[in-house]
Amino acid sequence: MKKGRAVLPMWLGLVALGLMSISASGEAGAPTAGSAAAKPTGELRIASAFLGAQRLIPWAEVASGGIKQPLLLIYDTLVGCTDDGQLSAESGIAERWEEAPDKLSWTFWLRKGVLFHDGTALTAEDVKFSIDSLFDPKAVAPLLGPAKAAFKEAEVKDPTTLIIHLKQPAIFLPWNFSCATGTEGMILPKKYFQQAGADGFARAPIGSGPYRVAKNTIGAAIQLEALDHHWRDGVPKFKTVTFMLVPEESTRLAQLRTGEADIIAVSREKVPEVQAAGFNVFSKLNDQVIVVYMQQQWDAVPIADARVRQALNLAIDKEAIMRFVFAGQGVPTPMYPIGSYGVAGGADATLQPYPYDPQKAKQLLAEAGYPNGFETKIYSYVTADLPELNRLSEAVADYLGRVGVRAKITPLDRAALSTKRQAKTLSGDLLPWSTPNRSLAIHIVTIMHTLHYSKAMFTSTADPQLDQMIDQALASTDVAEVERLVGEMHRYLYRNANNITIGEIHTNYAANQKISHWDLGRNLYDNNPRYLVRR
Amino acid sequence: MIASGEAVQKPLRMSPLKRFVLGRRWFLLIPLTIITAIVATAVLAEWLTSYSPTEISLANRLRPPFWEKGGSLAHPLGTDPMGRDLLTRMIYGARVSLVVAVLALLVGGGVGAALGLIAGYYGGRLDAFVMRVADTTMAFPIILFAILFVVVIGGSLVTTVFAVSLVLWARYARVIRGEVLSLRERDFVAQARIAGCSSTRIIVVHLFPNILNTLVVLLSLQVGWVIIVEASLSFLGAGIPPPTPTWGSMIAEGRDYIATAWWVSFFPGLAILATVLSFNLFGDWLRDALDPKLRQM
Repeated sequence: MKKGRAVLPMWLGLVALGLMSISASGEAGAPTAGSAAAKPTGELRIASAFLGAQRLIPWAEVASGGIKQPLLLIYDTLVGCTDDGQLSAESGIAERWEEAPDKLSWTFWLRKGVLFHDGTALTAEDVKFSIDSLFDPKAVAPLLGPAKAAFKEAEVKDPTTLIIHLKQPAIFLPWNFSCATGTEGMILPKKYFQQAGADGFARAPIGSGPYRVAKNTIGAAIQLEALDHHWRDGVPKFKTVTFMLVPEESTRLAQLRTGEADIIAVSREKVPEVQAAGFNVFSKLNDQVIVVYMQQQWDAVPIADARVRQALNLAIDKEAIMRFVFAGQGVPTPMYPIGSYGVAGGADATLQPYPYDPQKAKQLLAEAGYPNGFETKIYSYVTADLPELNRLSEAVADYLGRVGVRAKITPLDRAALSTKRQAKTLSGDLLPWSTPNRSLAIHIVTIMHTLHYSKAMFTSTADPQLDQMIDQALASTDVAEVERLVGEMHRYLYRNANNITIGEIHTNYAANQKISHWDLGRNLYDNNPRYLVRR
Repeated sequence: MIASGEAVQKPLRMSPLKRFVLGRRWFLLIPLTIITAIVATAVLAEWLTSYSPTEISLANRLRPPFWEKGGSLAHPLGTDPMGRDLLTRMIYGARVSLVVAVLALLVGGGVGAALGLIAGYYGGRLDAFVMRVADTTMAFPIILFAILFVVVIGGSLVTTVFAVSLVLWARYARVIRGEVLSLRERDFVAQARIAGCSSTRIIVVHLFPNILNTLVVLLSLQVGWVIIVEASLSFLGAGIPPPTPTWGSMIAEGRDYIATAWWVSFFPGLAILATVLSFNLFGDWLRDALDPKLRQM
């Protein structure tokens, strides 16, 4: 009897504790991670090479500006993604999505109980508002790709159901609104945005991600503060996360050494140095492709001839460039924009990078009518994340010089080059560039359209055969068919040597002992900061 | 008292060497030697080294100087991040620095002196206009100006010379104009005018020879400044584009390796220091010798 009386209060106590823990989980939605008693603690300081314009509105700037990292902690995306770059029904606002049998609409069923930072509930109205915002003339949504042309309207069926109607099939639509791509799928609070206006919202943005904005100092830092609990991430690990803008690498290294930063972006050459100093280095392997575009191949310029383009590919020792200019942190690759990143959707794995063969290059140049070579320009610049680019220009110019192609190194700012590229005033010039590697067929077709479609803004080619393949891929309603076309395009680009693909390089971060694990993932423009704040 | 029969003391006769030492002109030997060496290096670059200053050799990158472990006499000062011989690039870099300095001084100094002569001689509105333009030019930051130039036109030797000259002329115009203001009131100018000389003749034949000393002193004092400006522009990537070696761009190339390959930045920096210091010391001496009035400059 005595024993029985002692057990009852113990059971009651346990039940009460259980109830308390459920109520302590706070915001609605099932807690998936973290202990109820735990609280975010400490600070994580990340020194980034660039942070874009720091406007903190997802559609206000391109994800490539580095801004996607803080945005991923502030906002949730309509469709979630896994660290390895696949769609996930667990980590986005949509619990489920489905394409209509006629392929002219997609339905998204939304998660209940997700709250914005001001406590209001996230509904289908907010999703519709966020998607409609992408079509505002001021919006920058470059990664919407073919979905932009296919979009007709977004319809709110009920607070948790949204239907996107299309003018034509868009089989990859969920990818366009997922964190695997850009920032286009991030959800903004309609009511608050309309009350505050775009400028007011940019000053004090709110989302539904695990962190709210504490302070945004343009040109210096973005300071985020953790929620006590987030529907997906549970209790975030750090109380504050600060993204500091530090373009100069030597300054970032000093910050890491003095403890002013916990994580820094580090160039390929500095990896051995920071490792020797005892810091942890985390890499996103083959993250970026280094390429030299041959601009305006439709003009009457030497590079209009496929033999000349092949010669330029053969004249450059890509192995040596990878080894000595990029510190061995990467590998040569056959032909961008279809890289070897993971299993690139539809890429022809049998293709090998053009070998280094200056004799063959000279022979091809002679056959094309340039036995004494020709003169051209190669542009030179550096970006905060790619300090090697000017050395690449020098190396390429030197290799080309050895087969008689006199490439004059011309320093010009990358923004100015981008403008000239759009204005099509780089006739026959060589343009070194870097761009994220893409593994999914949809990403490849989108970038093919950007770089090779005759009428595209940044195209370097005007080839009816390529246009036809791109058109077919964009109009296709079958993933396997798109991948087949990607393979065909890969072989076509390779045969015609439409650019000089140097190779794929790693993106690296160095961290102090606060960070012992970090999977930088496989998503586009995304170094997976969510991994860092998960418990 | 001095005895009447006492011999009168003869004036002290010093050997030329003693005069040189006591007059402290010996101090000039150091800068003059350095300047001579740099000019000779620039002129004879092709004969002093067998390496190309621009051809890369990636497998040889970042070799240390010969006295460091891993270094060799094949590359006495080591190699740069593209595997090029550092000494060779410094030798050719001297040529670039001196060519820019000479051209910029000729263009900037020539234009500035001409405008200073004209403004000082004619005075009035023309003088006021030229001086206000000069003030505006001098108020403009040259580095920003050159970067704008490079963005719009593109970097080259001509751009660099033009950008430096555009700021340089104003300094000459101001000083020469001041000289001419006093010279034009002198009797020899009035006599020339009475004798029927044209204004052009007075400026060219009578005034110009009288400002020549000042001009030469100014030119010598500005050589170091022009070399520094050229190096700064090249360091910022707004100067002469690669692969042409310039001391400024060589320092910039080594900036990322300062902890691991100090020599890439150190030797070009040393070359700039030695050259600028030498030209400045020489300029100071020339000023004292030719035009002590300018000592306060």
